[in-house]
Amino acid sequence: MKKPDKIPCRQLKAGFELPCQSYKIKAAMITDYLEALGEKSSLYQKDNSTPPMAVASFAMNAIADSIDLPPGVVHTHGEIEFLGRAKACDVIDCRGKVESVLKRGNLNFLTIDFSIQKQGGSQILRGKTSLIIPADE
Amino acid sequence: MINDIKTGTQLPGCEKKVDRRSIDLYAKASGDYNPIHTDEEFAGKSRFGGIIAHGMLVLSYLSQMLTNNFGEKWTENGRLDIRFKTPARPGDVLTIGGIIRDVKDTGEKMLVVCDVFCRNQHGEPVIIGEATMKFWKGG
Repeated sequence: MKKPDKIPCRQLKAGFELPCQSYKIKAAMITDYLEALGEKSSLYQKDNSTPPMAVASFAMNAIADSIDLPPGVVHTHGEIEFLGRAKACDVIDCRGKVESVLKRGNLNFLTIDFSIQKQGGSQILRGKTSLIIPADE
Repeated sequence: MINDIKTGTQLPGCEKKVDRRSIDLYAKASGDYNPIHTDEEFAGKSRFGGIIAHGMLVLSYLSQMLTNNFGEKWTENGRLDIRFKTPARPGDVLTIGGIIRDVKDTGEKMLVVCDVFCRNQHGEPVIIGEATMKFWKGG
Protein backbone atom coordinates (compact mmCIF):
# COMPACT_ATOMS: atom_id res chain seq x y z
CA MET A 1 0.00 0.00 0.00
CA LYS A 2 1.29 3.47 -0.90
CA LYS A 3 2.37 5.53 2.09
CA PRO A 4 0.24 8.68 2.41
CA ASP A 5 1.92 11.94 1.40
CA LYS A 6 3.49 13.90 4.22
CA ILE A 7 1.65 16.98 5.44
CA PRO A 8 3.36 20.25 4.45
CA CYS A 9 4.32 22.39 7.48
CA ARG A 10 2.41 25.37 6.07
CA GLN A 11 -0.85 23.40 6.39
CA LEU A 12 -0.44 22.98 10.12
CA LYS A 13 -2.68 25.15 12.27
CA ALA A 14 -3.78 24.91 15.89
CA GLY A 15 -6.33 22.11 16.17
CA PHE A 16 -5.06 20.19 13.11
CA GLU A 17 -5.31 16.46 13.78
CA LEU A 18 -2.44 14.44 12.40
CA PRO A 19 -3.26 11.03 10.92
CA CYS A 20 -3.03 8.16 13.39
CA GLN A 21 0.20 6.20 13.00
CA SER A 22 0.16 2.55 14.05
CA TYR A 23 3.12 0.29 14.46
CA LYS A 24 4.30 -2.85 16.10
CA ILE A 25 6.98 -2.58 18.78
CA LYS A 26 9.72 -4.90 17.58
CA ALA A 27 12.06 -6.66 19.99
CA ALA A 28 15.04 -5.49 17.89
CA MET A 29 14.04 -1.83 18.40
CA ILE A 30 14.01 -2.36 22.15
CA THR A 31 17.39 -4.11 22.04
CA ASP A 32 18.93 -1.20 20.08
CA TYR A 33 17.33 1.33 22.42
CA LEU A 34 18.63 -0.41 25.55
CA GLU A 35 22.09 -0.68 24.00
CA ALA A 36 22.11 3.01 23.05
CA LEU A 37 21.43 3.83 26.71
CA GLY A 38 23.66 1.18 28.23
CA GLU A 39 20.50 0.20 30.14
CA LYS A 40 20.79 -3.06 32.05
CA SER A 41 17.85 -2.73 34.47
CA SER A 42 16.26 -6.04 35.39
CA LEU A 43 12.88 -4.36 34.79
CA TYR A 44 13.35 -4.89 31.06
CA GLN A 45 14.72 -8.42 31.22
CA LYS A 46 11.33 -9.88 32.15
CA ASP A 47 8.11 -10.21 30.14
CA ASN A 48 9.53 -8.36 27.09
CA SER A 49 8.76 -5.10 28.91
CA THR A 50 9.55 -1.91 27.02
CA PRO A 51 11.00 1.20 28.70
CA PRO A 52 8.22 3.80 28.53
CA MET A 53 10.64 6.39 27.17
CA ALA A 54 11.41 4.01 24.31
CA VAL A 55 7.72 3.97 23.43
CA ALA A 56 7.70 7.79 23.65
CA SER A 57 10.71 7.94 21.33
CA PHE A 58 9.20 5.56 18.75
CA ALA A 59 5.84 7.32 18.91
CA MET A 60 7.18 10.87 18.63
CA ASN A 61 9.16 9.88 15.59
CA ALA A 62 6.12 8.17 14.06
CA ILE A 63 4.01 11.30 14.60
CA ALA A 64 6.70 13.66 13.27
CA ASP A 65 7.13 11.36 10.28
CA SER A 66 3.64 12.27 9.07
CA ILE A 67 4.81 15.88 8.58
CA ASP A 68 7.07 17.10 5.80
CA LEU A 69 9.68 18.51 8.18
CA PRO A 70 12.92 19.97 6.82
CA PRO A 71 16.18 18.44 8.07
CA GLY A 72 17.60 20.05 11.21
CA VAL A 73 14.45 20.04 13.37
CA VAL A 74 15.15 19.80 17.11
CA HIS A 75 13.09 19.43 20.28
CA THR A 76 12.88 22.38 22.64
CA HIS A 77 10.32 21.31 25.24
CA GLY A 78 8.59 18.11 26.25
CA GLU A 79 5.93 16.84 28.59
CA ILE A 80 5.46 13.10 28.94
CA GLU A 81 3.20 11.16 31.25
CA PHE A 82 3.48 7.38 31.58
CA LEU A 83 0.11 5.72 32.06
CA GLY A 84 0.82 2.07 31.38
CA ARG A 85 3.34 -0.39 29.99
CA ALA A 86 3.86 -1.82 26.54
CA LYS A 87 5.66 -5.00 25.55
CA ALA A 88 7.47 -6.21 22.49
CA CYS A 89 4.98 -7.19 19.76
CA ASP A 90 2.29 -4.81 21.05
CA VAL A 91 0.76 -2.67 18.32
CA ILE A 92 0.33 0.94 19.33
CA ASP A 93 -1.67 3.82 17.85
CA CYS A 94 -0.01 7.25 17.97
CA ARG A 95 -2.25 10.28 17.64
CA GLY A 96 -1.12 13.89 17.47
CA LYS A 97 -2.91 17.22 17.41
CA VAL A 98 -1.29 20.58 16.71
CA GLU A 99 -1.54 22.79 19.76
CA SER A 100 0.19 25.84 18.30
CA VAL A 101 2.39 27.11 15.49
CA LEU A 102 4.42 30.25 16.15
CA LYS A 103 6.84 32.05 13.86
CA ARG A 104 9.78 33.97 15.27
CA GLY A 105 12.32 35.31 12.81
CA ASN A 106 13.31 32.49 10.50
CA LEU A 107 12.25 29.80 12.98
CA ASN A 108 8.89 28.14 13.43
CA PHE A 109 7.84 26.67 16.77
CA LEU A 110 5.45 23.75 16.47
CA THR A 111 3.80 22.21 19.54
CA ILE A 112 1.99 18.89 19.22
CA ASP A 113 -0.16 17.14 21.84
CA PHE A 114 0.12 13.39 21.50
CA SER A 115 -1.53 10.30 22.87
CA ILE A 116 -0.41 6.70 22.59
CA GLN A 117 -2.77 3.79 22.97
CA LYS A 118 -2.30 0.04 22.78
CA GLN A 119 -4.48 -1.34 20.00
CA GLY A 120 -7.59 -2.74 21.61
CA GLY A 121 -6.33 -1.55 24.96
CA SER A 122 -5.71 1.37 27.19
CA GLN A 123 -3.87 4.66 26.80
CA ILE A 124 -0.24 4.11 27.82
CA LEU A 125 1.29 7.52 27.32
CA ARG A 126 0.36 11.12 26.64
CA GLY A 127 2.28 14.33 26.36
CA LYS A 128 3.34 17.31 24.38
CA THR A 129 6.39 18.07 22.28
CA SER A 130 7.64 21.41 20.95
CA LEU A 131 9.88 21.48 17.90
CA ILE A 132 12.00 24.23 16.39
CA ILE A 133 11.71 24.12 12.64
CA PRO A 134 14.33 26.10 10.70
CA ALA A 135 13.00 27.98 7.69
CA ASP A 136 16.15 27.11 5.79
CA GLU A 137 19.16 25.15 6.99
CA MET B 1 16.53 2.29 44.70
CA ILE B 2 16.07 5.33 46.89
CA ASN B 3 14.66 4.73 50.39
CA ASP B 4 14.64 8.23 51.82
CA ILE B 5 11.72 9.96 50.09
CA LYS B 6 11.63 13.38 51.71
CA THR B 7 12.07 16.97 50.60
CA GLY B 8 15.69 17.87 49.95
CA THR B 9 16.91 14.33 49.28
CA GLN B 10 19.46 14.26 46.48
CA LEU B 11 18.78 11.50 43.95
CA PRO B 12 21.79 9.31 43.21
CA GLY B 13 22.74 10.42 39.72
CA CYS B 14 24.83 9.04 36.91
CA GLU B 15 27.29 10.06 34.21
CA LYS B 16 26.90 9.29 30.54
CA LYS B 17 29.43 9.79 27.80
CA VAL B 18 27.78 10.70 24.51
CA ASP B 19 29.31 8.98 21.49
CA ARG B 20 28.48 8.38 17.86
CA ARG B 21 27.69 4.73 18.51
CA SER B 22 24.93 5.58 21.01
CA ILE B 23 23.55 8.23 18.67
CA ASP B 24 23.55 5.81 15.72
CA LEU B 25 21.94 3.05 17.79
CA TYR B 26 19.29 5.45 19.02
CA ALA B 27 18.63 6.59 15.42
CA LYS B 28 18.21 2.95 14.39
CA ALA B 29 15.91 2.16 17.32
CA SER B 30 13.69 5.22 16.98
CA GLY B 31 13.85 5.61 13.20
CA ASP B 32 14.94 9.23 13.67
CA TYR B 33 17.62 9.71 11.02
CA ASN B 34 17.45 13.53 11.03
CA PRO B 35 20.82 14.48 9.46
CA ILE B 36 21.54 16.86 12.34
CA HIS B 37 22.18 13.64 14.32
CA THR B 38 23.71 11.42 11.66
CA ASP B 39 25.34 13.39 8.83
CA GLU B 40 28.65 15.13 9.63
CA GLU B 41 28.58 17.29 6.52
CA PHE B 42 25.00 18.49 6.94
CA ALA B 43 25.38 19.04 10.69
CA GLY B 44 28.67 20.89 10.18
CA LYS B 45 26.93 23.46 7.99
CA SER B 46 23.95 23.82 10.34
CA ARG B 47 23.62 26.38 13.13
CA PHE B 48 24.96 23.73 15.53
CA GLY B 49 28.26 23.39 13.68
CA GLY B 50 28.36 19.61 14.08
CA ILE B 51 26.44 16.50 15.03
CA ILE B 52 24.25 16.72 18.12
CA ALA B 53 22.61 13.89 20.06
CA HIS B 54 18.86 13.38 19.79
CA GLY B 55 17.11 15.32 22.55
CA MET B 56 15.05 12.19 23.22
CA LEU B 57 18.22 10.15 23.75
CA VAL B 58 19.37 12.56 26.45
CA LEU B 59 15.86 12.59 27.92
CA SER B 60 16.01 8.79 27.96
CA TYR B 61 19.18 9.02 30.10
CA LEU B 62 17.23 11.20 32.51
CA SER B 63 14.38 8.71 32.63
CA GLN B 64 16.92 5.93 33.19
CA MET B 65 18.26 7.79 36.24
CA LEU B 66 14.68 8.08 37.59
CA THR B 67 14.08 4.36 36.94
CA ASN B 68 17.24 3.56 38.90
CA ASN B 69 15.89 5.61 41.82
CA PHE B 70 12.18 4.80 41.79
CA GLY B 71 11.84 1.55 39.78
CA GLU B 72 8.36 0.67 38.54
CA LYS B 73 6.83 3.63 40.39
CA TRP B 74 8.55 5.76 37.77
CA THR B 75 7.92 3.62 34.70
CA GLU B 76 4.22 3.12 35.49
CA ASN B 77 3.09 6.61 36.45
CA GLY B 78 5.94 9.07 36.07
CA ARG B 79 5.52 12.48 34.50
CA LEU B 80 8.21 14.71 33.00
CA ASP B 81 8.03 18.38 32.07
CA ILE B 82 11.38 19.49 30.68
CA ARG B 83 13.18 22.00 28.49
CA PHE B 84 16.09 21.26 26.21
CA LYS B 85 18.62 24.04 26.80
CA THR B 86 21.92 23.11 25.14
CA PRO B 87 22.54 20.31 22.65
CA ALA B 88 24.67 17.34 23.71
CA ARG B 89 27.49 16.45 21.33
CA PRO B 90 29.64 13.38 20.78
CA GLY B 91 32.42 13.45 23.38
CA ASP B 92 30.32 15.27 25.97
CA VAL B 93 30.20 13.78 29.45
CA LEU B 94 26.77 14.37 30.94
CA THR B 95 25.95 14.47 34.62
CA ILE B 96 22.35 13.53 35.31
CA GLY B 97 20.66 13.95 38.65
CA GLY B 98 17.89 15.49 40.69
CA ILE B 99 16.60 16.48 44.08
CA ILE B 100 13.23 15.87 45.73
CA ARG B 101 11.59 19.29 45.88
CA ASP B 102 8.25 18.39 47.41
CA VAL B 103 6.36 15.44 48.85
CA LYS B 104 2.59 15.95 48.93
CA ASP B 105 0.16 13.72 50.80
CA THR B 106 -3.14 13.79 48.92
CA GLY B 107 -4.89 11.21 51.11
CA GLU B 108 -4.88 8.06 49.02
CA LYS B 109 -1.49 8.73 47.46
CA MET B 110 1.79 10.59 47.81
CA LEU B 111 2.97 12.89 45.05
CA VAL B 112 6.74 13.20 44.79
CA VAL B 113 8.04 16.18 42.82
CA CYS B 114 11.72 16.35 41.82
CA ASP B 115 13.81 18.97 40.11
CA VAL B 116 15.86 17.10 37.52
CA PHE B 117 18.80 18.11 35.38
CA CYS B 118 21.34 17.01 32.86
CA ARG B 119 24.53 19.07 32.56
CA ASN B 120 27.52 18.78 30.29
CA GLN B 121 31.18 18.76 31.37
CA HIS B 122 31.24 22.58 31.20
CA GLY B 123 28.41 22.81 33.70
CA GLU B 124 25.99 24.00 31.02
CA PRO B 125 22.40 22.78 31.39
CA VAL B 126 21.41 20.34 28.64
CA ILE B 127 18.00 19.56 30.14
CA ILE B 128 16.22 21.11 33.09
CA GLY B 129 12.78 20.31 34.38
CA GLU B 130 10.51 18.55 36.76
CA ALA B 131 9.64 14.90 37.34
CA THR B 132 6.54 13.86 39.25
CA MET B 133 5.37 10.43 40.33
CA LYS B 134 2.58 8.99 42.43
CA PHE B 135 2.97 6.49 45.24
CA TRP B 136 -0.26 4.82 46.23
CA LYS B 137 -0.33 4.21 49.95
CA GLY B 138 -0.06 0.56 50.80
CA GLY B 139 0.87 -0.15 47.18
